[in-house]
Amino acid sequence: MNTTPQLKQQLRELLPALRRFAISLCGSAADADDLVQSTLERLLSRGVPEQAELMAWAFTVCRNLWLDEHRARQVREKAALQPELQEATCADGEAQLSEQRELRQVDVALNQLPAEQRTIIALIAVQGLSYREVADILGVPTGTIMSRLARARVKLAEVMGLTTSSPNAHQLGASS
Amino acid sequence: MTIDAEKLSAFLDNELDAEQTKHVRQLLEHDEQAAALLAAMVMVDERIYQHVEQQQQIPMADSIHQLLAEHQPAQVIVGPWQKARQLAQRHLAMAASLTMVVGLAGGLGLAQMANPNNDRRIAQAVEQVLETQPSGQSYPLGSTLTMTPKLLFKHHNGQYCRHYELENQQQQSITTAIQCRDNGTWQTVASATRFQVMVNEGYQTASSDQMLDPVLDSIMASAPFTEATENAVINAQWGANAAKEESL
Repeated sequence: MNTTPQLKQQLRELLPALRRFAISLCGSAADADDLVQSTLERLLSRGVPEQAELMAWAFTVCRNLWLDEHRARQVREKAALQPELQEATCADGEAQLSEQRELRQVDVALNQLPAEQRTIIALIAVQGLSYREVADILGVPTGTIMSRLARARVKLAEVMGLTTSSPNAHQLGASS
Repeated sequence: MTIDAEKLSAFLDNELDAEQTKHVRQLLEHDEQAAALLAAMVMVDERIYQHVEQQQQIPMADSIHQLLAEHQPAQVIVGPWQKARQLAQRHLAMAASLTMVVGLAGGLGLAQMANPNNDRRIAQAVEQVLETQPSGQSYPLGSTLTMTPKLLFKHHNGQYCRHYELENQQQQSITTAIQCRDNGTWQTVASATRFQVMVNEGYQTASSDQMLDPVLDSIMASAPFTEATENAVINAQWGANAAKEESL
């Protein structure tokens, strides 16, 4: 087990990546910081097994904590998407409105993904991990990573209005 | 000819072997639908990445840095003045953006940050600078302390107050404090100490410039004195002649 000073040093180096992952999962820096804080507290209080690779372990802890909160988070974010609340937040200028719309669109799209697909998008599209690394973190075969990621991208492209024709014309992989 | 989304997605991530990659490239040359889907996937990734990066620009909650800091978290120490204490408690708790651990330890004062054996000597040296030196210059107090008076202003209650920073090179900390002159002695109203913290990928000692801004806002009767006014007040030894300073 890592000693606390060593672990703190390693976690400081990992912090930017961990926060980026948390933002990918949560959608906002504020929620992500809560998640990062909980993750760090968990890691510092319970330690990291000697044989564990710290980044993979930290991402797993982070993801598990996020999953614990996922349902409540979704309810909260759906409430925040009520039109009357949106109007209250969109007040200053066309540029800001446009930016907010785009950010909101990304949030809306990500919120429509199942948790496991969102996790994979976060680890691959944002963190740049390989399919093998993500498979190790999530404990599933690389084929599953590949198919879930493809489904996630297709779904996101649809929700974001980036596809001009139905992507169903393209076969989705059989493995899932 | 069609291509499945999985292969396009894996192609995008460079996860296909050489043969599969070559095959996808060939298909993309004449399959417009596949090319459009690949472009859409690229844009999806880009939008998500931009979204995350934008959020990443928002400063991280300081409580996270504190959690991983090697040193003890900063303490805000608020002095005995009841009104200032109440204001400081309220405002500093709100400002804990800043991640300071807000504590009320009336009477401990600035000396807490120093070696107890040197408390009195340091406090006296600080008072000497407050009493005699204008703002804007740094004054060494021993081998490891540097004091920089920042502001001189009047409290709502009429007392003169000074805002200053004290850098401790040995502890790698900066204390920012407000002391007000009461019957010839300088009483600590509020102080806060920040230790070296990690920010992003490197270390830095957080600036303490703004740490006590809420307290300053709440107790300042008017704008800080100008250099000329400061000199007039100090030269008048804070006494009878000081009444003239505001007309300068």
